[in-house]
Amino acid sequence: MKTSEIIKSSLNEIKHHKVRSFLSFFSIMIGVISIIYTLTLTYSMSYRISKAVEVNGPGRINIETKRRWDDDYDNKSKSYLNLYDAYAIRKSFPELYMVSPYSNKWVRFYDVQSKFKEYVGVTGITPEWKKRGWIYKLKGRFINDYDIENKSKVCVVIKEGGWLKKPKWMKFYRWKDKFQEYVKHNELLGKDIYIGNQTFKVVGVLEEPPQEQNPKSFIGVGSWEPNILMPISSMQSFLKGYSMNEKEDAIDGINIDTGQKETIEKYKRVITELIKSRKGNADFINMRDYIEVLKDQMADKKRDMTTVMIIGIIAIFAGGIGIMNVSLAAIYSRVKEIGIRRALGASKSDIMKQFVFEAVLLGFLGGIFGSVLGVAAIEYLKSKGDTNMIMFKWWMVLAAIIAAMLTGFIASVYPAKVAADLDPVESLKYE
Amino acid sequence: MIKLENITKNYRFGGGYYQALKGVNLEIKEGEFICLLGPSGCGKSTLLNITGFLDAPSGGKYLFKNENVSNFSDYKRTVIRRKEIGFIFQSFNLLPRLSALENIILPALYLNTDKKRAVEKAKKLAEWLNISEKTKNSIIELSGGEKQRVAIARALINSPSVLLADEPTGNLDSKNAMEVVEILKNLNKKENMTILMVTHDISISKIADRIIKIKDGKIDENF
Ligand SMILES: Nc1ncnc2c1ncn2[C@@H]1O[C@H](COP(=O)(O)OP(=O)(O)OP(=O)(O)O)[C@@H](O)[C@H]1O
Ligand SMILES: [Mg+2]
Repeated sequence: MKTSEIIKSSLNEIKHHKVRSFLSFFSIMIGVISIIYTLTLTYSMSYRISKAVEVNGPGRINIETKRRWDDDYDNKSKSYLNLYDAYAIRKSFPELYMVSPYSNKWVRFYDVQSKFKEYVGVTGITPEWKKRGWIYKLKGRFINDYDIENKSKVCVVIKEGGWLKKPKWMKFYRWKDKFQEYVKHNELLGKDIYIGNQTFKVVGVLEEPPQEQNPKSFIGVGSWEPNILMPISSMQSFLKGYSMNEKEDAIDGINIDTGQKETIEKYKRVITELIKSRKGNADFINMRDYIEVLKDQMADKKRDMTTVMIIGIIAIFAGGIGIMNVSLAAIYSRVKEIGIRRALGASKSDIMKQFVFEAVLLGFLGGIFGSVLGVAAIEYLKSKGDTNMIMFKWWMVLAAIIAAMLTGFIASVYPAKVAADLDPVESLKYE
Repeated sequence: MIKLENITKNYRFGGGYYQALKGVNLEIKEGEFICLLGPSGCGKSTLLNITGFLDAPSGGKYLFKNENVSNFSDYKRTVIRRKEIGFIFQSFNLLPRLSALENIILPALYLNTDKKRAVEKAKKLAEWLNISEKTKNSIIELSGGEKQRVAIARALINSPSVLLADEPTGNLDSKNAMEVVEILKNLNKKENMTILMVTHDISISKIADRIIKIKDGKIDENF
């Protein structure tokens, strides 16, 4: 019998058993929705991780002085990291791709003319800062070695990229960053600005890409997003503000990129040795590689994902059992029909095909409807600001539909075999 | 065309076996119209089903068109049944969810005939059987006589070489029964169709070329 005829008769059968078809259909649908959702989430997560690694460097190590709130903080320890530790690392291991010391301060910004006042985040850096995570368009110039050596009173302002197409939710929920509003409306390049009661010259403006294309808005690693960058030496000498460090010459930490993943462990070891030889011990520092940091941050999401995935698998499974049950039950109400068809020339495989096709079709239809609802749900979440949902791809729908059809197939093979193996004569007698 | 030699059929029954056919010898020539008579439970349907490849014999030799088909597999029996055999039943055995026309062409679809050609042929058969107006109807809407004529059209759609009818008039009133018998007689006389028909009605059996009486799983030679 031709496939098109089998499909036609399957559709007919599904139509004639509305409730029974709907129930299997329904659980398949739920399964498909959660498959699409988890696929999107999984894909987004792995994309974020790989993108984050790409932007931040594969061999990334972060060293920070332990803080009071760290688990293994030793309050007797008087040691802390300073700029010279960073220089020592750079000098001992010139082959490292990046050794970037940094220090953050929370300071007051003041515009004399407009009387605009606001607290802003300032990060003190060296030119090595730009070797990783550089996603900006630079106007003017960046901070250079001369600035570091001479403690130049210069700075670079970071300007947000805005949105290509602003999501609806943004209009209602998000607080406005007043400083960013100010930066948007005032050309600061070449001007002197007051931060922490000191004048700094804006020598450069870093423009972020639009939010949709900004890997940072996507990666979301690290909570400190500075508004202004300046030479770390200038910051330590001149800038008054709130910092995590008690000592003036202390720095927050050092970002290092060995250049490749494989050498991370080696450099973790030798850098610890170096710190030990400089400070007598290395117990006062936290040294983590970036993958670890990422994994910590993703752990929560992973748990959510696993939950949804399990629900999805259970739903699809239930759908499968539903189909199996329905198909088995259908056999008993169709014994006579099977006998008649056999008498008219249907082979065992014709009968088998009929049952399998029916179930696969049921899976397919459930898959289609589930996909429609799933995509609608994803669009909804997207409009609510779930950036993970941006990573939805159409092949996920395809994968989910295939999974649904496969479920129908697997669930119906056994019942179909039972039906095909019925004795034609006995089936004809059946009433 | 058909030659049965010492055909037996055993049914597993309780602990042992029940022998429904106890060695049947029968030869049917092309174009013959044969009636099977006999009391209930004597094995008429069993013999018909074996002849129609719906069932396999337990023993004996079955030659169909000079080919030994005694040990054919289920699949081989299906293929030969599809092409060579047309079945007509007492209770019509039409599929209630299909229209009359869809019922008629179903065997052609299993034979992978082009659907358009099958429909054309079905319409011709329907015309000949006087059910042209009813081809679009659902089976439930048909009378008994109409149902059996749909079933006859269905049995003929693949142009089989043998028609097997198991009490085709059993569920019909005498007027419709006579019509069905007329149809079968016509088929036999005009198209030279080979027909094997089971019936309880002696008056109906008179139209056959040959009447065979079955008694207790065997052919009653004294009849
Ligand atoms: N599957 C089976 N298991 C056991 N016995 C069976 C089976 N099928 C048929 N029989 C027996 O075989 C014998 C012949 O059955 P068959 O159906 O051929 O009779 P029949 O001559 O067609 O009777 P009727 O005129 O009532 O239709 C009967 O006694 C029946 O009980
Ligand atoms: Mg019978």
